[in-house]
Amino acid sequence: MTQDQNNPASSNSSSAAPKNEKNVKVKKPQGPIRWNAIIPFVIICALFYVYFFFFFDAHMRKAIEWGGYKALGTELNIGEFKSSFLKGNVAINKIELTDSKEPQLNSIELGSIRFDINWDALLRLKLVVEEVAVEGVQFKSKRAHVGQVAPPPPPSEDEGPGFAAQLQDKAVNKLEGDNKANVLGDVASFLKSGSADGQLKNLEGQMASKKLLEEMNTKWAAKKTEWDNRIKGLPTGKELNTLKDRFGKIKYKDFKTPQELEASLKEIDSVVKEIDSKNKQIQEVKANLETDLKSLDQDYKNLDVQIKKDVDTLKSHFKIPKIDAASFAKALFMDYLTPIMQKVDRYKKLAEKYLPPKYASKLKGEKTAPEEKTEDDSIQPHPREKGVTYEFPVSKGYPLFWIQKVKISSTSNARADYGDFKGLISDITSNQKQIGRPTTLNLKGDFKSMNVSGITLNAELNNTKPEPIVKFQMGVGSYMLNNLNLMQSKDGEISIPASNTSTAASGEIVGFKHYDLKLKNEFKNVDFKVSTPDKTVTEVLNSTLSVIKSFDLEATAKGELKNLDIDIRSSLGGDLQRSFENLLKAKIAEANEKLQKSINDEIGKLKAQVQAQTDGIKNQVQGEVNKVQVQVNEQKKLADDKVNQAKKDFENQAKNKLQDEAKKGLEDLKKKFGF
Amino acid sequence: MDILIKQLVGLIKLLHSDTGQNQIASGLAFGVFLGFAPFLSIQTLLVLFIVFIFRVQLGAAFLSAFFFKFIAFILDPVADVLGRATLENPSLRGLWTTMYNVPLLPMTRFNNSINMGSFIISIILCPILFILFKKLILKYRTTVVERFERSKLWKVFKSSKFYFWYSKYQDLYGA
Repeated sequence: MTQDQNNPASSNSSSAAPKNEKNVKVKKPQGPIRWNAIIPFVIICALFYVYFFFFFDAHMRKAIEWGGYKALGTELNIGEFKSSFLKGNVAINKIELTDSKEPQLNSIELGSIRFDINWDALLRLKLVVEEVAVEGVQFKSKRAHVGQVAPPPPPSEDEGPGFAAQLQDKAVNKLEGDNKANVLGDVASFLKSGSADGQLKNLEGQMASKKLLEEMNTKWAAKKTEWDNRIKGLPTGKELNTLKDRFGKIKYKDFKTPQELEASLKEIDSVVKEIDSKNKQIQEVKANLETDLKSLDQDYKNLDVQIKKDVDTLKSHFKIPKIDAASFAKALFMDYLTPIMQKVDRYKKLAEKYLPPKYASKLKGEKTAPEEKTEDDSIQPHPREKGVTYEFPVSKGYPLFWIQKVKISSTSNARADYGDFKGLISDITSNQKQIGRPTTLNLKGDFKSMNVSGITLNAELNNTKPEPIVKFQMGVGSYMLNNLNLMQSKDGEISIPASNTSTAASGEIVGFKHYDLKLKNEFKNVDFKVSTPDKTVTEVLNSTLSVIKSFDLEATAKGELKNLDIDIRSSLGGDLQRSFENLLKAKIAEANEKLQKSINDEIGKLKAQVQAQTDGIKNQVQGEVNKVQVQVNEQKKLADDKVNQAKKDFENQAKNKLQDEAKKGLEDLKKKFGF
Repeated sequence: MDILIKQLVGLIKLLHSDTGQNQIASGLAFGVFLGFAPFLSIQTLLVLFIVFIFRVQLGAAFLSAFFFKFIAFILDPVADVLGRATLENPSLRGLWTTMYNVPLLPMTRFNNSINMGSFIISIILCPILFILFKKLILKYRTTVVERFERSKLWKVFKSSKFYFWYSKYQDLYGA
């Protein structure tokens, strides 16, 4: 590409100086191929070849180790990376991933991974692997050196609560506030002490019901004074007798003239009006009394509620254990489930980090807003016309990334303690819709040397539908679970040194938003180990737990990630409930009785005082009002009788007079006619 | 940029020499392909490879590509119509389907109407332009260059010391 190639005849130019013509070498005419360009090209190709032959594998190994550490946060080691560009195959041997909790062990070790890349797809710029063979799977294998573990990233503020946090919050908050840490601890503590008289004395002064009673006492003392004054204002017997005297003086018969009758009626009317006014006064007092009595009833009801609350509060201080299966289950298995949930959280965070943004945002529970179009007012070059792009039938197309099969097989041998595994992962792809199949995982195996058998894992990620669905079922038929600590506190320790356990877990996640997770563990051949500072407590707990030989644990989490409904149940909770109920029934009843008595002693006196006061008001005022009412009623009746009698008498008198007059007239007529 | 300038200087020199008209004409003709094809496509890479391997004047090719990029821009509607007609032709459908399913060929983006039209235009123009450019170069040499060399100004410049030393340098180190 130098000038002489482009200008081969420049020295032969007719314009060249004539003096130099004899010195000019006649160059051979150059052929059509630019050899001096091909040689550097070949050298570059050779360098590429040398690089890929000698260095590429080592660099890839380092790159995977570095990338793995950055992505997973634990050291990843690769024994050997071998690739052949022309054959399109890759073999990776001895892959070790450090366990973040125990860096001296591997969380997983793979003997080898081998796969061939499909050249046909590669020429279409697609990565398709027909089959990946994974062999020699080991868990918890010992590392040659302690692996590096990255420090945990600082928690971000916008991060929602994880599975473990929600488990802690929701399950534990359902337990009683003070004894959430350890229900069995309280049982032990209760068995040990049996009473809490000392504690109770300190707490008595803080009872809200006592305060309420004092307020009631003050209120009703004031009311009593008020009512005393009101009673004084009621019509007295003397006043009512005066009315009686006035009635006595009123003439109610033998009226000689109508004027006499009218005068009597007027007097009666005046007395009746006075009686009505007194009656009205009494009715008002009665209505007020009724209102106050209702208020008194309400006060007593409030007092009862408050006393009940105080009893509950004192019980929690008193540490009377709540014999409830659900509480037992939650308290006992929190420590067992929390690390499992923490692991789930860790993988969730990894998924959030590496999944495509549209799925990661769903995992985070974010709503994906439609993209806003922003107006671009900068000067843009006129785009070349796009034309029409035609799509022809694809008879052999590939998604961008597609591993068709991953065959996992592992067989133990004398040299290495591999598990006996067989499994198949199919259709790991960047576009399930294109291939029309979901990603599935089926795995079965045993780890005989570790006494783990019946491992099954079936999972499916279906992204062919509008909402991606993840389903999984996993189980371990039998494995030995060692040193399961159920309770560990200053009050003592309850643990299960070894148990034959089986696990079954299943779940469905729709759209990375709605979760439905289930876990069931069965613990068999269980022997509890109990140790407490107190011999009696140890004996009691031993006798309770020795009869329990197997139990189960069921945990469920359902709903949206930000608000999971978490529940933990265990038959151990029920068994313990029954055992403790029998054992502690009498003691708890005694304690409850003591508590009630203590409360009664403390507020009983005050209550009696208030009761006396209110009873006084009730009886005295009611009696007084009733008495006056009777008297007034009597007077009113008397007045009514008198009026009626006067009216009747006057009517009779008038009637007789009329008859006499008629008789007299008749006699006169008879006389007149001479009869 | 340095290479490009050198190539353009080389082009001018070659244009003023007696030979090399095939290199210039083929460069200019290949430039048509570069100008009409999408910037990043497999056919562009193929043409560049040919231009580098065979003795084609690179300056002419790049200059021509630059010029024909504008022409292609203006001819887009024509290319679109031509491409559509070709791609929609029922008798060619089998060919296009096969090509669409063959590795590498879809990377030419032949299934786009403008790309297809532009490709057809450049295929047609390439041999025509090669012959045309060759004739034009010869014509240029016999008319413009000769007339210039006969001018007094050129003769004065040619007899100057500067030109003497320049020629000397060219003989010793130059192309």
